[in-house]
Amino acid sequence: MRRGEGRCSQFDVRASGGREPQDFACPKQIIVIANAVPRFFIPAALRRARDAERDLLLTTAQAAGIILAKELRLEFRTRELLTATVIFALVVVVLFSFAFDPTAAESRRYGPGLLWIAFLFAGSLMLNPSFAREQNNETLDALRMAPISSFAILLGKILANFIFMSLAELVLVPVFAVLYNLSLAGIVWRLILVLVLGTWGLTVTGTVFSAVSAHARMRELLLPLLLLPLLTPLLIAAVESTSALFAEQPALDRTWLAFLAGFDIVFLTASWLLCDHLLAE
Amino acid sequence: MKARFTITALVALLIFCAGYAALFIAPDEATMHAIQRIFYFHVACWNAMFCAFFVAFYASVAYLVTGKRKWDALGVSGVEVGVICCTIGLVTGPLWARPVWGIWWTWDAKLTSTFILWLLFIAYLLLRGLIEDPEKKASLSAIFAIFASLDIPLVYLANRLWRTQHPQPVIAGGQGSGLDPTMSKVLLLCLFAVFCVMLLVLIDRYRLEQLRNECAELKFEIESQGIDAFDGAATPTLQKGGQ
Amino acid sequence: MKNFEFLFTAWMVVWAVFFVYEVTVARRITRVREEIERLKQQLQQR
Repeated sequence: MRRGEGRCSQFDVRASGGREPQDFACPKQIIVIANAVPRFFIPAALRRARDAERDLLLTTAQAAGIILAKELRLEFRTRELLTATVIFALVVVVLFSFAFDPTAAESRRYGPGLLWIAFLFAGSLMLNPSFAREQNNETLDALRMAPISSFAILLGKILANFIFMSLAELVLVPVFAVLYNLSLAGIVWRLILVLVLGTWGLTVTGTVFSAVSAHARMRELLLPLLLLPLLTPLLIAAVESTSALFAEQPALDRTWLAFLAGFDIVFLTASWLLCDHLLAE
Repeated sequence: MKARFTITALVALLIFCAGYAALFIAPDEATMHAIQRIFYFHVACWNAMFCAFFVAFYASVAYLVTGKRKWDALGVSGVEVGVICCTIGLVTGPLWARPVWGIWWTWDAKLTSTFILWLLFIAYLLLRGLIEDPEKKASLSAIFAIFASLDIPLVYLANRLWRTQHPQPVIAGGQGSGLDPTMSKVLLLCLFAVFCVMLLVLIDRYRLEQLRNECAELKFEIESQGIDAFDGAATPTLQKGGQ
Repeated sequence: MKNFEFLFTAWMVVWAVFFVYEVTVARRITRVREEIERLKQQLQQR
């Protein structure tokens, strides 16, 4: 039986009277999942919605790439957020060194902890403007009206924040190693792996909560308040992994690394499932 | 009204029986003796907390899917009652720990993740206070509640996954666990009693939230009809006197 | 009983917290109910 012929085709939206996806009270994510499941498991209504869904102008990846380019262009015009983040994190690191005397043994014990705390504090400040900026000229409404999925908008911003955070860390980690007399020799790639996993978790959660706190009062205070308790498992896992690398015998702690990866996957999935409501009117 | 009174009386009776059982019927524990009796209410509070937070999680998801205000009301009620139960648990815990371990607090996996859970849901309540638009308030706090609920499995499994200072689970906890039969009966009674108290408080809070929503709707209707909201309350007697 | 003070304090905490919370909720309910009555009367008057 070919499409549109014979009995009413369930797979041709136009032939069956043009029911649009928004006629179904069904989140787009369910439709995306429906794409992966064999046909006979899905009721006809969902299949119609799925096929209409395919009329998006750009795929999520393309749209996210465009948003990422926009964010990068915006930031590199002035570079003020990036410089402010780096300097703030440096100040935190220096302040901590006044709190205790960084001899070699103590540096090994406390170093990773305060490195990650510096990243978390700097991140909470840096992630705020992500969505707060969009409030000024209501540019978020313009983004939402574009024929792209809301996950594309969120993903573009997450990737941009990840790049900014990574650039800041690229500057900070060598400075930290110098100030606290910790050697980076032989652990660079493993350290980069831990930093990437930790920063990804930080940026995903931070960007989502930036969207949440953009609508509230006192958003500069609210974002750290929402973000830091939630990131405690990430902090613990990252610190343990980094400590293992700075130990006498550097080793990659697989359990904590798996925990970090699990945390990243869980929060990215949660963000994907909730992104429509997050960016709603 | 009468039904409400009977239910409250029944729950009060239940709590009284549970308290009596915990204090006098439950056998004395071998190492900790009297102080161990906190266990019955300490564990019951955590159980009530998990139930309250589960209700909040379910209500948050339901609100995001359906958009009905009653789910938002149930969500905030669940979170508030859950925070209350969590506070009780976090206070009774150290009160038990001090005579037994000699310390008020330690940063092991169970206590830390529970404290984080408490902070997260307090942040939820703060978030609600800082957003003015009611629909945004409902949807954003529902999203945050779903994220915060991701910590709950961690709290429950913390002392099963890691070796902690906190005692190992006594129910289905592997080898060496298990309770004396009288103790498990008293525990079940206390679990049920505190659960009923939690349910009662939850229903009341839900009713309060629904009444508040009704009040807001009435105010909106009054304002949209152009009547000054403060008219009529204090002026009639003054006007009479003036004439 | 050994450590009775701790046991007693824990009990009091459980009771007191639930009781105080229930009382505050009940009081807020009465206040909101009064407010609703007042608003309903205003609407009817108009």
